[in-house]
Amino acid sequence: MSSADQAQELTDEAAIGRVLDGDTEAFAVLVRRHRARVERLGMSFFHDEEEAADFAQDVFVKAYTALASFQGRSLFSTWLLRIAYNTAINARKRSRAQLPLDPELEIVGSGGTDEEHLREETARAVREAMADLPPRQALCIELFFYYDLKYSEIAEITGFPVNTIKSHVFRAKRVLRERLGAMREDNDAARNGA
Amino acid sequence: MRHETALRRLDELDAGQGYSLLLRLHLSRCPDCADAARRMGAALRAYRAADSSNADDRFVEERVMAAIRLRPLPRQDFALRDWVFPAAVIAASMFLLPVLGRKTSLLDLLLGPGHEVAIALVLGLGFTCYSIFFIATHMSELQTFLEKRGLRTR
Repeated sequence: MSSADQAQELTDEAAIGRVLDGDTEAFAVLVRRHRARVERLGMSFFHDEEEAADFAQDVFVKAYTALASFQGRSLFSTWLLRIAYNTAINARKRSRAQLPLDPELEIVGSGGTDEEHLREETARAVREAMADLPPRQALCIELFFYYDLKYSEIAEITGFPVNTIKSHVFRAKRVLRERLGAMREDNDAARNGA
Repeated sequence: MRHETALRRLDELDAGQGYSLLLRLHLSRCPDCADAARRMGAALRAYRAADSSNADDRFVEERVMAAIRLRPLPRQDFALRDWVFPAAVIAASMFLLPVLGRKTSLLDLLLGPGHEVAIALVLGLGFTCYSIFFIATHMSELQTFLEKRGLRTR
């Protein structure tokens, strides 16, 4: 097994331990594992790949600097997303342009037509549910739907009460369920017509 | 369980939360709700499988690693609150011991007539050690503080 494979097998906690013991290169494991999620959060806020990459770099450097303060009370990914969320909110505050969360986030994926269709419907439902909310609250929906985070983890990241998050996610799920129901009816109608 | 209740319970589910027994019973008997649950699960899985990033995987990693190689190793910081208790004990000792000693002459009995010199030495040593450790573990904060006020250049 190569050293790169061995590094990939490290858990987040083990990688953090190695970094704190002086092995700076072990931090690359954490970057490789969590980069996509941080960049996606950046895309949600900045709508630009280059800015999202700069944002991800900023977040990881901040996480490295503060790594000794990570006490393992939550998952590393939750802790990292909290840093990312605060960094994004502060960047938005500094920015003159108050951009909304990305309404047309490009989703790149591989899969069959059905899967792509499902993904598109879900993305539309998420966007619809997010549309009426202020950006900080809208992000709670994305954190649930895409990042698969629990209500308590989203509360830890964003600082919103669990019940507020629950009600936003509940509404988004209802929109999604209705869309999926309509999709099924369309499919049934097409099948009967054929 | 009614149809609407089952759908509401499905919408209320937290990430990673399993179905309750009542909900499972209902889903086993109601094909519409079972289908809604299956579609919701499939939709969420498809959505999460999407990768929104077109960027080169190694690009950010290389930039981050280059940036952190220039930085000092992250070190275990001591929270300021950890320093408050020993500081309070030292400060209280500095004020209370001489006052109590003078009023009750207890220290005269315990330590003899030259106790004030001994106490001053012990407290002085304690205070010096505390200050050395505090400053040594907060050098980066001190540096940031001075830089922010333009008292020190990078």
